[in-house]
Amino acid sequence: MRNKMIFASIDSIVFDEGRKAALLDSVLVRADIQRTKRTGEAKRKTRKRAKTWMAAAACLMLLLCTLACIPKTRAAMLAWFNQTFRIGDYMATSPEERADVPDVEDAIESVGEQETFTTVFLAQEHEAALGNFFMQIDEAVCDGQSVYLYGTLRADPQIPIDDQNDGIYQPRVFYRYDCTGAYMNSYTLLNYVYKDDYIPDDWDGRGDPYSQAYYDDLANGELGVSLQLDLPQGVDFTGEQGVTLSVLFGDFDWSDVLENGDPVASIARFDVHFTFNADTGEFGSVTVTQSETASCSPTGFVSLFFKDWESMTDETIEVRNERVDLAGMLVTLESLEQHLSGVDVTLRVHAPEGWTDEQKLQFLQQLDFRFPPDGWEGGAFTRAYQAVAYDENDPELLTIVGVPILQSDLDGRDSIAVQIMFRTMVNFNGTDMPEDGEVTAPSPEQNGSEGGWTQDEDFAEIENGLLKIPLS
Amino acid sequence: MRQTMRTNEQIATIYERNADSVYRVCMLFFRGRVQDAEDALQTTFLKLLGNPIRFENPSHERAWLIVTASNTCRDMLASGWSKRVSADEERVLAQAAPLQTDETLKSVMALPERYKAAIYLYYYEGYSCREIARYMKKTVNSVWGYLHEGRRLLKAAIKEGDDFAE
Repeated sequence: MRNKMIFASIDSIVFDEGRKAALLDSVLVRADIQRTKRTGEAKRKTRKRAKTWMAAAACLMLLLCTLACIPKTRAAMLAWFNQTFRIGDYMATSPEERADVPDVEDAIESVGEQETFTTVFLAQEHEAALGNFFMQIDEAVCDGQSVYLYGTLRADPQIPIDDQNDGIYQPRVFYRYDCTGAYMNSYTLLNYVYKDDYIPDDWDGRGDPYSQAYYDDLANGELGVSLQLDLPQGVDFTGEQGVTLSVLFGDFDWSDVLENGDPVASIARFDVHFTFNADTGEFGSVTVTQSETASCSPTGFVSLFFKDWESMTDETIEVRNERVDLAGMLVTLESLEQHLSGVDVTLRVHAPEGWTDEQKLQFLQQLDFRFPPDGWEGGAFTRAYQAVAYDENDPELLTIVGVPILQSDLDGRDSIAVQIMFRTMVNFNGTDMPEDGEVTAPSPEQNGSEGGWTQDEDFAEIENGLLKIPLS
Repeated sequence: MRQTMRTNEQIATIYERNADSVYRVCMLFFRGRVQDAEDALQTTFLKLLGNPIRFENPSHERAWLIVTASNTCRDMLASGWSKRVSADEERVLAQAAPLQTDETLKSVMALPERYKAAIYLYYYEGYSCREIARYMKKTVNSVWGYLHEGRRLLKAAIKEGDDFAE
């Protein structure tokens, strides 16, 4: 593929004919010098090698002559030679009657030219937003065996950088694709497109140091990425072909992926669909669609419960319920991770504007979850689950830990549902709590242990708090 | 088996066929410094002298020379070869053989070294990605990475990206 602009520019570099001829002369003179030098070296090597062979041959002849002096040994030697090679037989046969030996050219099987095609298309407008990520597909190429996709991953707003590997962030991205009905499923960490040189300290200045190169550009909000999709073997590459690529984002444990197979089936975030003609090598339609994202927008009011620790005396403590409006809240699935014992569901609660970190954290602490049947008869999906982990450094994130749903439970299902529940404090240490307001409640025991608290909670669903997680 | 070196006639024939291409590649790597480019060109053809490679066709021959030339240039640059030419000498050489460079050419010359050969082979010589990967002893994926990044840098430098969106 020639680019007119680049072609014209490079074409402007003209090699002066006079200089060209002069340099050829110079090359030929230097070639003569090298040839002479190498011929001398070769002759010296040849003489040395000949002397070595002559000495070895003399030793062998001496040995054979010595053995031939012994009658029995001589007889045995002649018998062996005659058995192995009867030169008289071969010479006595006319050339026409000797067995044919195949020509060298026939004996070597030709590999032949492989018919391959290479095609590029640019799809710069195809961009999908994926929560905190944006993926832009810049171009794709198919060489008949693999499809290569190049794009740009951007983080917006800034995402936490995982610096477990010396500051290198590894977005855990998985993909699956479907080509001509031959379903292929694979997982990979995103490959990096090398962006800058990494030259090892001990590099001697020769060869290619770039194979060791990597560069983390995500700190700047952008990362070039590449994906290689190996097409299924045995697929007949003729006519229209279709490829569907699903890119799945999530914070997964790679070792779990390897152990448990398919842990991330539920969180496909966007798909790239494209077609190409295997005969002409031309790409057809290209679309990027965002898959259904598991999310819900709770509504209504809830009461956040706070204790005023500074007000606590030996006898009393001020406690309050703070009634807040959930309008503007968005709950999204951050990840769904399969373990042997079940799944961990991580949700991100995008709090309404103006909420403080303290309010966000308290809201998470009063949340609970129930897995409604959603067409499922298993008991694990019907009971409330209370093992919840908070991330105090990220007060919008929480994980429902170890829900006992096994991979076998998920097989054949289209989705699972999570109902968000809320625990409202209705009575604290024997004192009824208002929906919104402060009360003075009896203090717990003198040792300050929370073991002295008694509290009653109202456990209820949050309006519009049903989160459906697609599994396909 | 004893390896025979190519004859002067063979070298001259190959030189006539490919000297322009090799020269252009060397000029790209040395950003228009004629003296260095000529040195690299001579070194490239001397490497051919003792290399027993049998070319399958003229296309293979040219690609081999271009890749060898780019490796030669990189080795020379890494070893500080160009530093041997003093600033005064460079000025004299530039006056002696001025090279008219437009913005595109300057941008191509300013590309990181590892992208230049791939960009040149693909956009100027018209080689396919698979061929380039084979000659450069890289994976197709790597070559596409070079082209992708090279193209992105060129777009940014020239600010006329539409011309590359073929």
